[in-house]
Amino acid sequence: MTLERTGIPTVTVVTHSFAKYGRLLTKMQMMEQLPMIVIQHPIAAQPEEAVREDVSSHYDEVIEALLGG
Amino acid sequence: MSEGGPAARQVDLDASAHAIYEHYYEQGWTDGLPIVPPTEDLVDAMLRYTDRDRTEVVADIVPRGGQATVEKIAINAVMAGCRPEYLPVVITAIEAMVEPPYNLYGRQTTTHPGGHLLIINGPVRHELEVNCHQNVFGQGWRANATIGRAVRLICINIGGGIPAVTDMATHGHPGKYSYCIGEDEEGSPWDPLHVERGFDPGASTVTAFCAEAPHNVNDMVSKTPEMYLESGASTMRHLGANGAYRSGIEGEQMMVLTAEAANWLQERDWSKERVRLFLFDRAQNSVGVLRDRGGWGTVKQPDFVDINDDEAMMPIVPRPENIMIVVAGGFGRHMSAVLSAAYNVSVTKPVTRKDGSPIASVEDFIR
Repeated sequence: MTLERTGIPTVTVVTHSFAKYGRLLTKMQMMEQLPMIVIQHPIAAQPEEAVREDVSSHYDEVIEALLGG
Repeated sequence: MSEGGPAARQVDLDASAHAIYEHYYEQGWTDGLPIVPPTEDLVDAMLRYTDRDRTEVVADIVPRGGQATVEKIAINAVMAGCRPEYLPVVITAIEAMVEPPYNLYGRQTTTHPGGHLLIINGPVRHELEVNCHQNVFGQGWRANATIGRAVRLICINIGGGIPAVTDMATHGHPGKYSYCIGEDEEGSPWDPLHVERGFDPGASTVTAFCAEAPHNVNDMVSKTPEMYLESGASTMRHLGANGAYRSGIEGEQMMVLTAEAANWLQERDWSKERVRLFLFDRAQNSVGVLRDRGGWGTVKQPDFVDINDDEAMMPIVPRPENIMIVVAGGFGRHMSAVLSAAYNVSVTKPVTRKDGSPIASVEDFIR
């Protein structure tokens, strides 16, 4: 949120266990439009390939969010 | 910070203490424990112990960004059970916690178990009867119990730090109810924390340090300072400690020694600085042990460690002065390692009047 406020386009990536929390924090900071990508939880100690596969599936969303203003 | 925050909302409730507690709990305005109803007269009595206007905004408290007016701080302090004269210390604690190096946003929302430890120095310890001795982290002293609790209630009610909603601590720890100690300045052979940080010995200060629960180190047997402090260092460097992996960023870790231990060390020509340097040198792990576990690789690695060399040693803080040493506690040579997330540092603020001048006594406010 700090970077976004300075004008640097950002995408926030959270796992689904933290998605509600992330949305609430953006609401509290009056930044509800902050782009947020939700990936699977957990990621800690998971096989790297599985995490990469999940994250890669969101690639287009990330690009769209960054270019969307 | 600024003038003119919103006035507190008043509610009319059934006069029974139980009904009031139930209402406050249902509204999410408590830490789960019963509260003292913040009636107008109790809040007004507390506001006598400040020269600030009740609507003055002391700080915005994240993550909600709620405005902590003097009045709202006083309301939460009443709820926590504070005596009126504790208010200047509670206000000072909040001023410390909102300084950027404290990283309150991160501390309020992290999965890490961080409680807002307040370390009180100076004459205000005696005036408010802040415990600095036996059972210093434990129960039994109103000032320690309620000043720390007031800060937690402020984080909840003004800051919006709601467990499992915005406060995502995986486990938390009991100090998140209240976490407040005084330093045993009279028992210590060394300069106390606030003097180390440039304050006059007669100044009263509050140091805020977001930290895990104290981890006891029991060493009654070691006959040399080296052996004794090695026991402490081994606790500070354990493989689950955030600091073990984060000396590449700014963070602090703390060791609490008793006056008995500090004097025993001083009698053997171990100054506080020598103790600090020893802990820095010994609270280290080899890269080979740290690699690919714990918090390895999650933050910037220290520039001064060759992380390709398994034999290279990595400290728990970037430099020796980032190890805080505080003297507190009762008889015996137990130590308490108080470790942090290493994403934050402590902040010390003096207890002052509105114009910034230090107080000699909390009674200065009502004279």
